[in-house]
Amino acid sequence: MKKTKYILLLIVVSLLLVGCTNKKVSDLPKPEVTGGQRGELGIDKNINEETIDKYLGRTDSVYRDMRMLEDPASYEKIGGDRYLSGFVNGFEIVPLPYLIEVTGLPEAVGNTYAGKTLFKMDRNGKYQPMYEESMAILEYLFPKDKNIFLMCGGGGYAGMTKGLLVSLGWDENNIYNVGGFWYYEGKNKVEVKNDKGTYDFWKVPYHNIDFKTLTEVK
Amino acid sequence: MNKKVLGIVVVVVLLVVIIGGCGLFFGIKAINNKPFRLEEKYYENMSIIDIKHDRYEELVDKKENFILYLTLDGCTSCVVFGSKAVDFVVKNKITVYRIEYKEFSQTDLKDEVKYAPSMMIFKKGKLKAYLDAQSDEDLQYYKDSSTLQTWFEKYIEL
Repeated sequence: MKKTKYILLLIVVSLLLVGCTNKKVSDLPKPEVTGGQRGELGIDKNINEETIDKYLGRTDSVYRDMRMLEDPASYEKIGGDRYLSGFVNGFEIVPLPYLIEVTGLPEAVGNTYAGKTLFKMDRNGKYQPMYEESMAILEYLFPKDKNIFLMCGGGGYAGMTKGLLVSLGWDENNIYNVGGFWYYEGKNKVEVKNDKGTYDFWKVPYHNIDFKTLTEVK
Repeated sequence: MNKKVLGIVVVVVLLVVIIGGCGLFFGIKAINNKPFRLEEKYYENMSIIDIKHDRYEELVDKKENFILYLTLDGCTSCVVFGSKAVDFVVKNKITVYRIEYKEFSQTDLKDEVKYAPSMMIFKKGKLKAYLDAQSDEDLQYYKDSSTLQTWFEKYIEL
């Protein structure tokens, strides 16, 4: 009887310890959109550029930066920089323009990447896969059983990505628009632009999609 | 004079001082809230001038009245809002300055005007008003050129 009691006590203590070590993994606020213009992009109120450092490195999550290494849009015409000159350590780059067509940029900037994409919006406003592998690629890059943290330059591409994923069946409660890299002032900044004015793209964990190897949907 | 009358006189005097003071306060507040003119040179041309933080510091040191438009590299909503900024400049035939976020983050206003896109109005080199990209109240002014115009007219003579 005494032995049984000790075994039960051991089991209870073990469960409590496991529960405590897993506390961090389960301790995420639900996505909640912030106010104003930033809210229009879907940027999260609680997990954003100011607080993301607290949520990095989680084994139950993936971190995706939706920018291109070099954006064809002429951002320099409005005083900008078309290159990915930095990112948050832990985030991996997945260019949104390779996933869906990005439109709506003003004339001065011109068009962004206008090549092949994994998905296209049909006349009914639904995303259709352009390749047999499209969905598998998306599920690989954005696992449905993980929390997904999205970032870009200012929050726009990240917001579009969340919209794409939710429309294709992802759970919106697992996806966070963290906002824009340019507002990030945390300890995990990786500079890609060097003192010579060139870009060390070898630092960037980048997911390329080679459309030549994919099978077009007929 | 008996105490009762003295008491009434004191109360009346106090009321006059308080009401008069309030009136003076609100009068001053009304004057301070009246739309003001930018530097005359900004009404002479229609343009958006890109500046860096050192030029911004000069404008502040000179205590100028000016408009500063804050934008951000690669921010698609900034690009969209930019077209409204251009509409505003063209319609009113004025000059505004434009600063990129990287440059603006080197100024002392970085913690107050935290996000782009934003429009800032300076009076005598001090920040008078700005559009807050995280404010639900300011969201309407980001939506189209006519509401943006309304916002400016609260502060600037156009």
